[in-house]
Amino acid sequence: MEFVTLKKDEVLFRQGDVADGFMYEIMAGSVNVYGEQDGHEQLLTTLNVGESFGELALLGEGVRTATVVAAEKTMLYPVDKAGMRVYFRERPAKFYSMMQRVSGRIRDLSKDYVKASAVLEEYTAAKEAGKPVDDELNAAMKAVINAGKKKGRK
Amino acid sequence: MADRKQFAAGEVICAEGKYENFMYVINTGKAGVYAAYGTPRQKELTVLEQGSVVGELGLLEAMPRSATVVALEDVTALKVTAENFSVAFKEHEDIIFGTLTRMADRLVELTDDYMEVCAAIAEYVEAQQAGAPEAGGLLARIREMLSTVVYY
Repeated sequence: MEFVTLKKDEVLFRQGDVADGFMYEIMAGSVNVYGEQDGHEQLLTTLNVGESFGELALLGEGVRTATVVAAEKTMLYPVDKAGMRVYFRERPAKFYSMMQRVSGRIRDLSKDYVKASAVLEEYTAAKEAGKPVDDELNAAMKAVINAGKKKGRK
Repeated sequence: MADRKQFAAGEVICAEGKYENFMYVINTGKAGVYAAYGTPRQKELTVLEQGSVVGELGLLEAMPRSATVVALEDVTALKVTAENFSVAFKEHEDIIFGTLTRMADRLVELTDDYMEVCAAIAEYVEAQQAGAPEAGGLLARIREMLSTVVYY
């Protein structure tokens, strides 16, 4: 597999891009990971040599969930689905953290369901009682509605 | 190997609600998975054959056991902890890879369902704001969607 080289500030992929099916391990350099929060792009983390990212693309996730930009001249080792068995065989600890990442996402999503359900019930109760919907509830409802809109991007 | 466990038929392998930070790979025998085990509401969820993994969320997320697992016949199982994960992974690569694939499928499915329910909520709010009377049917459907999500 050929290494991928990035110049400083070069974008590898953007949040919402259709995933190319690769995860990447950083062989040299570092990358900044950005995500959209409240409509603004924010730096979430910086990843360094030995760290990897984009694992969920190997597992059939269709869309990149963050933007990755080279923080300096960077060299990446790409791993695709065909190569993942061999890659992880030698790196059980990385496999473990990948499992943790997936289970963490499942847990977060379960919490989102509970939250959406609570927000919906509160909204419905307010409407039925003819009470105004307060700002906090409105904001919570908007967040839920926006999550639904992302569906169109897939 | 110290992490090799034996359970006699009828013995409880995992108890619902209990916090345990490990999972098992079932090497031989069958085990039943139950909700509300030993109560009038007891329900068999599935039967695990040899080569199954059980309790991965306990290992990965420090979550309480979501169901009770009972040996249906004599069972031998490998107890997998964070400490011996690498050894277990080498020994049972296919099985543990399969567990990740299953979790990933579940994640994709949950994500799709979540976006669908949010889109339906958006539709409901729009209907409410427009004062549309048919919003009641939609609300029932959304509640149904939200209630059918079983955690794992």
